Amino acid sequence: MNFVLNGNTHNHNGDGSLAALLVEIEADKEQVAVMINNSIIKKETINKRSLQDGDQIEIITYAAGG
Amino acid sequence: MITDTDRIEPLRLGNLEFESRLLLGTGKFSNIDMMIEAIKASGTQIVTIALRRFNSAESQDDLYGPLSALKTVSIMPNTSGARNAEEAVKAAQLGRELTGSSLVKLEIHPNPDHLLPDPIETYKAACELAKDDFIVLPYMPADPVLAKRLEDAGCAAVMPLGSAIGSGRGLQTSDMIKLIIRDSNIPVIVDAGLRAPSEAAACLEMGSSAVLVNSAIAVASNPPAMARAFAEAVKAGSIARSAGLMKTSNAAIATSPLTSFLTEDK
Repeated sequence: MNFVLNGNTHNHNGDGSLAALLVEIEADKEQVAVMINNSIIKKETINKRSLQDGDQIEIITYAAGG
Repeated sequence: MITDTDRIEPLRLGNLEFESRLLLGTGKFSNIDMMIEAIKASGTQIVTIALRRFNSAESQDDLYGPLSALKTVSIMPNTSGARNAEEAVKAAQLGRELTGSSLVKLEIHPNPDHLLPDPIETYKAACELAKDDFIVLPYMPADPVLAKRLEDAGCAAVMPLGSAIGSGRGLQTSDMIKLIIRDSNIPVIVDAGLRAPSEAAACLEMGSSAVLVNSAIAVASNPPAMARAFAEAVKAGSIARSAGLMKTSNAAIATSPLTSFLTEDK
């Protein structure tokens, strides 16, 4: 299954769930926000969300800034 | 000795209250340990963060862990990088989902040469975010008319700039900020350009509710010490404001008796 993850093609080897993708990229769901095809995913629904081939996924986290 | 004049009203932002009147940015620190030490030394209760794409290869840059450990500090995501209202609203929504905080520093500054805020896009985004129950703190030009419009839109505070972001040119807009303060029913927080703690004290003395400081602390030789200096300055300015500054006069008004016994003719 292939996604566009943070602007780059990503080949996913898990079960196609968002939770599996986060494990695959070593992201704790508490430290990220997720947007799929320009829609923001509520944190409490991350574990229920399944992904589709070709999804555009943005995984966002904290950055230093003023 | 603590006196009545030392007891400063809390800073009220939406339904939240804060004792500290110093807000900190998290950019430009040499490393995260230094940033955390500065945050602790400042006594701040609000720090702003930006957003970036997650990359596990950059785990040394993780801010979530160290900031989450600071139990007395609220996180205020900002919309830095947004070039228009639509992008800013999206960034704010992502920031709220990321942090669980409804505080948002709304900043839209599309021109990297001067980073001055776009007043039209800022106003549009502020209207939308306030309706969506964000506690909106817009970074804005020091414009009294815009400040009232943002207040009417439901912002929790306004954040006029002292001078350009990161410039260290201090409080160049003080006349306009005084006009904003005079008419404002919401807190006025001076954001951007401050270099010296004395400038932060001046902001509080003139009636600003708080200041937001980043570069002046982050690039100091000793950031925790500078953070403490800003904290003391903000406190001094706040006490001075409530103590009541004396009126100015164009003429001298003697403080000592003017009896002329030294020059009196014998």
